[in-house]
Amino acid sequence: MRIDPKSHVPVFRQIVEGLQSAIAAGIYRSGEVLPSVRVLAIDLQVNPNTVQRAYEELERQEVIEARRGVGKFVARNGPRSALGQAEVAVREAFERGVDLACDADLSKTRIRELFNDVLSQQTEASRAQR
Amino acid sequence: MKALLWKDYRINRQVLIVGFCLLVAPYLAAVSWIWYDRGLTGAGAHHWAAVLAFAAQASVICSQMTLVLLAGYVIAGERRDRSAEFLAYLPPSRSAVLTSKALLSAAVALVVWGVFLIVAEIVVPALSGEAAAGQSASFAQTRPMLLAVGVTLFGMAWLGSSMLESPTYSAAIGVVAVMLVPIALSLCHTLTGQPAHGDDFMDWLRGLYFALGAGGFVAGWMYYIRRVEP
Amino acid sequence: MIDVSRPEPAVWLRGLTKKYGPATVVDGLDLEIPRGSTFGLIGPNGAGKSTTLKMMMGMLSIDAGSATVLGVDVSADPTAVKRRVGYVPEIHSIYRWMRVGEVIGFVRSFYPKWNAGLCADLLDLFELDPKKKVKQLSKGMLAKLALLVAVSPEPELLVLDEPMSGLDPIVREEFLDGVLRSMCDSERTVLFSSHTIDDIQRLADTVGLLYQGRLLVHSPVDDLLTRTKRIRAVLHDGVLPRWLPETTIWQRVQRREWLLTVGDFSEDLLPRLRGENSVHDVEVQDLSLEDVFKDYVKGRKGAA
Repeated sequence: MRIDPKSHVPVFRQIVEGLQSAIAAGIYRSGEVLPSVRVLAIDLQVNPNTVQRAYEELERQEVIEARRGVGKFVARNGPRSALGQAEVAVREAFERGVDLACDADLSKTRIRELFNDVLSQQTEASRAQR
Repeated sequence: MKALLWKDYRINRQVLIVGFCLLVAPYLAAVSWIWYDRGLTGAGAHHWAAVLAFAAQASVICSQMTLVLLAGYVIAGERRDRSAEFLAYLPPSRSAVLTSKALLSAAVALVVWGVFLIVAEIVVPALSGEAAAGQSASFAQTRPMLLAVGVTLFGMAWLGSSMLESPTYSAAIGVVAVMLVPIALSLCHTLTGQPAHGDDFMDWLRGLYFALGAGGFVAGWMYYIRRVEP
Repeated sequence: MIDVSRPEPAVWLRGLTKKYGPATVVDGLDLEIPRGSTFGLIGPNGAGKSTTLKMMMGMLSIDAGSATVLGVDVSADPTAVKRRVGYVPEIHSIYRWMRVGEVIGFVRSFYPKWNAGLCADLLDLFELDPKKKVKQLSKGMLAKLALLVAVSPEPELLVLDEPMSGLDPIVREEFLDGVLRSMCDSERTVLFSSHTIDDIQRLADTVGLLYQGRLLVHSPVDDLLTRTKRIRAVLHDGVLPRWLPETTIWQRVQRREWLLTVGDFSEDLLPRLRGENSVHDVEVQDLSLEDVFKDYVKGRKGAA
């Protein structure tokens, strides 16, 4: 997970989304301990307060749970909640893309063509990476 | 305070080394002279006494240079290389910073005058008895004036150092002050007839030197304490 | 109404002013920084950031206004402030003849509290050789040393003046590491100035944009990003905009394109915008922090 300081997405949201993806993808499984605020802050090179807020948001989303004095853990239903949240983020990205397409007056058919193109292109690329 | 003293000693070490040379050189010259003139074992005690008396006088006069250089460098030196800005954001108060510098200067003055007094008042009379005591007496008359000049040299250079960025200009202010006072007094005498030439004039001169030196030191101290920029 | 339960702010500047001849470098600056937060001061070179920080530290005389740091008036008692604040300047003037170990010993003697363990850890982390003389240190090593002696006394407030300018990326990361470790102590307040957005985005909770000695923006970083939006609209032929939202900070009309940046955007601005102006194709864009600052500055320049 890397933070893009030039993005228009606030850093805390980037961390939330980054952890959501990681948990949804199974990098952190149910019940596993997450890095402490201090460790993650130093690793990502961001303000510890920001990491703290990101953890609090994930707690609110019931993706993670905090056990006092012990640390932060992935909640039992964490991966499922994370997937749901990840889907929300993906949906928002799609909305932005479609808005852009409509602005340029592309037809629905053309939009679908472009989407299928990108989808096969990206899945090819990630298959090649593995 | 220990840390500040150590720092001030290290920063002014070059001046202190020069000072040491100025202090010791006349004595070395004295020894060389005797060696040349009579041979080290051939000279009598009264010869040693006479030569050492001259050496002591020369040493204390030359060492006034040390004191004026030290005063010029002691504050302004840290401005020139900007290290004053480092100390400026650390906790020591301005008073503490100045106290350390004043203590170092006092130690140097103590050594200079201490060595002089030991040689002139103890060693020389011990070696010579009557003969050199006469010489000591005439030298003794010039001592207060020498001290007064030293006070002005130091005090006015200190004042310059507290205000300026250049150590050499600050030292120069001390020297210029010493030259200006007799000129001013002579002018006063020419215009008003006072003070009368002779002892009166010398008393005034000496008094003014002490006052100017002490005043310069105090003014420099107050100015530095009040100033915000390091 | 005074809330006695709330601790006083870490920094409280009231009408702080500094003039150099005819030029006013800091112009009546008002700023309050609560304890425990991290405040980033950003602005172009010459905006007055360094001058403000130096006045706060009692290193520059204040022409007008006041600076109260950790409850102490800097003009009245600068020594008390310096005992509780760690400062890292932009230009380092540590005695060049001292060795690293001597510098640490020298600085340590002035503080009642000194975390020797932290000092040793940082010495290790920064790979500083205690025997090396300061004049032999590279710019990056010097910056790390300055940070080390600033945080070892565990100050309540840490002030950093453009701490990472001119550092190569590797040293930058090491330095950032040192600062972050210090920030993990939640009691500590951090105030830093920078002209790079990267630092602000990463480190600051709240940001202040200083331009020509005045604070143009004072807001939590995330708020700025989510509330500032740019609207792009296409004007009908021969028509100029008639109505602007109240929180507009900058606008520009070029051909038929109308761009405006709004400081506090909400969806209900759009119907009014469409209604009062002859526009079509209204689009709302997100902005990066850099764009936000640029627009504030452009808006100010335009107003001047």
